[in-house]
Amino acid sequence: MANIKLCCMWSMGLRILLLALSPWEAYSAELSGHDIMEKNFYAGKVPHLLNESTMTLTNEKGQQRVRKMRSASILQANGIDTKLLIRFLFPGDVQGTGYLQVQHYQSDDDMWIYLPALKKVRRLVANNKRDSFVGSDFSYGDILLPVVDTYRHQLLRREMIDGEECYVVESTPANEQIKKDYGYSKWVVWVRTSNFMEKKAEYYDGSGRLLKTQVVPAVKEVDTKGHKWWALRREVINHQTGHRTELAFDLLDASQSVPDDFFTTRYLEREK
Amino acid sequence: MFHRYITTIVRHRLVVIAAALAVSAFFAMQIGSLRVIVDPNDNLPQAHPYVIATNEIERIFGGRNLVVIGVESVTGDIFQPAILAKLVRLTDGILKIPGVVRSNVISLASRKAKDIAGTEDGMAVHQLMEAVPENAEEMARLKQAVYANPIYVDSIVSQRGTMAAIIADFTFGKDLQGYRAIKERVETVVDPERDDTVRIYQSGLSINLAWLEIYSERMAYLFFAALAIIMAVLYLSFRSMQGLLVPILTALMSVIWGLGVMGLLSIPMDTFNATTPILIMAVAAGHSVQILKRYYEEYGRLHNSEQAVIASFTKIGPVMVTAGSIAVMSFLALAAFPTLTIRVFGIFTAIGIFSAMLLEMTFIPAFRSLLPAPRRYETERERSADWLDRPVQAIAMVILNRRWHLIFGILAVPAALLVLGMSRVTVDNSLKGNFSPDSPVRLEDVPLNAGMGGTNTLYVLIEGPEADSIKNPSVLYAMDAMQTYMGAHYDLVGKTQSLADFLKKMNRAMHADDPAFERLPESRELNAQYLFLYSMSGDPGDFDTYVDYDYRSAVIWAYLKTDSTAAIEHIIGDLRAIIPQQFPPEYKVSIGGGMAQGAALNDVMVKGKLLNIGVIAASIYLISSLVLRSALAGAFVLIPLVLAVIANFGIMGWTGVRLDIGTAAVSAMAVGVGADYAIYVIYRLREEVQRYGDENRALLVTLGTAGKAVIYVALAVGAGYSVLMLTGFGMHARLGFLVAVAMAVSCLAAIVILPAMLYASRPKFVFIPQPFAGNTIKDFAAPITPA
Repeated sequence: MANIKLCCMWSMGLRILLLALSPWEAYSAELSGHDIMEKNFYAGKVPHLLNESTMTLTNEKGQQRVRKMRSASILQANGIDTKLLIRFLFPGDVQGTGYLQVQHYQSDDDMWIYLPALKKVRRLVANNKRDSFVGSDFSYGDILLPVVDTYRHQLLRREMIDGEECYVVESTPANEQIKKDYGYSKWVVWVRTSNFMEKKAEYYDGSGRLLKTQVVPAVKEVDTKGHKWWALRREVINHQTGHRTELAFDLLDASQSVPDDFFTTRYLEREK
Repeated sequence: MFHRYITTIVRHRLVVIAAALAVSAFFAMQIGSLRVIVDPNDNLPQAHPYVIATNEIERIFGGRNLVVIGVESVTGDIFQPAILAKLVRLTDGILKIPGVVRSNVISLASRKAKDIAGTEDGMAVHQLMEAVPENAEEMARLKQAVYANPIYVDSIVSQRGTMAAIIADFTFGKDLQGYRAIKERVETVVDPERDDTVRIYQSGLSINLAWLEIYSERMAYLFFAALAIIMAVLYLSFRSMQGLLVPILTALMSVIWGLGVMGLLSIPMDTFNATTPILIMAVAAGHSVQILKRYYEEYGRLHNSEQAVIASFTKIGPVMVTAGSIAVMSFLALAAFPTLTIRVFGIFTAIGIFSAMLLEMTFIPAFRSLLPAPRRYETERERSADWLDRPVQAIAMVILNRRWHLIFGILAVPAALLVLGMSRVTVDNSLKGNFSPDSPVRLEDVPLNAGMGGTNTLYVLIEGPEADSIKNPSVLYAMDAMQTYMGAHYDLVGKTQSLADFLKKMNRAMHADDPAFERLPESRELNAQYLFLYSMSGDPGDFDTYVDYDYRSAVIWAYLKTDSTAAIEHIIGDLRAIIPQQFPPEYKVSIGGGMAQGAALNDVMVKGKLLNIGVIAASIYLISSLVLRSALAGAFVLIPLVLAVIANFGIMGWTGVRLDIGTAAVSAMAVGVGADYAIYVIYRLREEVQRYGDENRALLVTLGTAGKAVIYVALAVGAGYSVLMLTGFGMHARLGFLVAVAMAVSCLAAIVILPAMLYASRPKFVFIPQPFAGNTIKDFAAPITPA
């Protein structure tokens, strides 16, 4: 709880700073693009969560690969970074494979992999935020969102999508390095006005061409006290390759706290 | 009947000419709608196992239209910021071309070129070159990383580091049609990068086929060059404008009609048929010369142009119709062939010859009767002896003196040599071998081929019984064994790649980069988990080139230094023998790829062409036997063309010219033209024997008229074709040479051997007059009172 308070204060401070920097936004009755994205950022920061999910990868020709996994995650003390443990259940030949990621928003994340056939934990030095998240069309940066200041946000308009009112916010990288790291020249996100969870997002590649579209058709308030939400389903299509990924969550449980030693390489080796 | 018909034509000549010109104009307009097929896949034998495998590979792994771009450093290696920056721009540029198969584009700068490295505590997968290194340290690291991943050595960076390659693949679609389009698009990306620091080469099947299209289009110019030479030879033969104009007019109009009908009927043209108009022109000019020669003869007798037209046509028209019909039907028989290009060849040639016949029966007599009568000296010169008369008379005397030992004895030696030469003919197609060493194709391909693994691809497709079959260790061992075998046994195989290479590399990386672990994992689970692991750090499409989505099928890429189908068939033969020893029986292993397709094409086209020579020869035999009412007659008609084919193959055997798609076509041409020579000579001889009963005089007259016409035609066509020898394109140059040989041999056979054999065996169809059935022959055989 203390952590959450701390993080709220931090964000408040940031907001005050921003208000000072951009007075013309401060007097607007409407929330600014930055405000919206900040609310969006924290809306999904569930303190701890257990779930099972099914990832369906479909290529251009309609061929599919299905993966089932069980995940556990906790929010780290800074209120921003997450620790994530994934255990793969399906297909059979990768059953028991484990994946552990400890996010560090200011540097490269730590990643480990456990292969049951090798009975060894190995550090996985993958590249950066723009790389594919476990072989899907999501990048690591899409799944574990970067801090709000990474991008400059501008509220474009409000729009109804499938009966839900959304803010439409355009986000552009704060600098060239960010553009390079995340691989987007901009992204446009439709944020639900009701709960600040994203409804849809469009991502544009380095040269400004539409790269991907993500839709989040349904969300659930998994932590009613803290008003934290989780997407029940995310779908993303890469327009340039025709490849698509659907991620469906099941058995969401934010009530059980997950012990910190869950997120260690020793635990990873337990194959469960 | 012919007499009445031709009189009507001559009487209404203006109407006939106007109608013929209108039809020609109409057909000329239709040429615009002629569909030209540029995709040789349309010509591939779809049932051939190599083609089936290639289609399957295309379905699973993407296109098959490979382009290889090589960037060679002029100063030192390619690990220089400026050169690597070029590589980045080139790769980005290629990726923007519509129709590019993005997952099959690989270079040092492409995202899917990943460095799989082992460290003490794990595995690191990084893009080899995310950005161009900015300092010496980064550059050294990149260099080290490249050579630590052997899969990339000699595929995207050469062993010595002086050359880098971009391998790209394309599929045709709305925005990208034809090999020329690929080549042009690639050039717009490549050209801005050319400067003093690098040499940039382009090769690969798509580029070579684009050049084939370009060279085939040059046939249009060559056609006119050949036309000019034929005109010159005709002028020298007849020494009159008419002698030049009439045959050329017939030939040109026949080609226009032929192309027009093709356009009208939506029969597609293809690049392999680019030389067919010259064949039509040769046949059409041949008929025309025979008729013209006869016209001069008759004019010399009648001194009235109109009457000479009627008289000559009445006599020679039936022969022309007979010879033309035989040719039309023979070529039409090819329409039953399964290979598109041979069907097109048959139909196009048949239409062209039929048009020539039609024109000779309508437009030409009408036109000639309109032309001013030949000047006195023209006819006199025609009748007086020219340089050809002496040799022709000498031939006649040798035959009439029955000096068979001289004729057949002299003939026996070269014939035996040629038959011996035939056994030495090798069947081999090499697309690149057709281009001369100083052509752009070779200048670009040779250094690229030498510097890298090779620019010619052969694929081994492995299809398992179910999803995940490829993860089976025994299959991966077999794939590895095949790669090792190819690398060890053939210098021509410069590089092989497959999923097995990645798994070995990952195994090593996961064992702290210990070289002892650079081997394939022993369990299916470990294979699966490595692949899964890779997919977690790489991109979803990184392995698309090597394995399909559900790991049911995989492919081994082999890069070859040669595109010779003979060499490739040898390798394929060996591989097919070891496949059953290596792979579990439930796996289907087949061979495909650009080179295997070439081999398939070779197989079918060459066999097809040879078979179509057989079909044409058989039709000629049947039809001429039927028309001449003698089973023996057909055999005599075949003499010049059989000898021409023997001579062609014999000379090919001795000179090392290989039998390929182009050279096989020559024989088909020789057959088409050779039959006409025989028919004109046989008919004239028979006419003269029947007219005078004097066999000696008959031979002298025949050789002095029809025989000389045969020589003119052979000279004109042979000389016309020899212009092809000047082109830089080997296939066309050999075509020119071999047609000239075929013309010389079939001409000699028609005026020496054929009459000698006729006089030696005295077949009844020439020497004993008999009643003929049908109006055609009756008109022709009717006794004519000497003037």
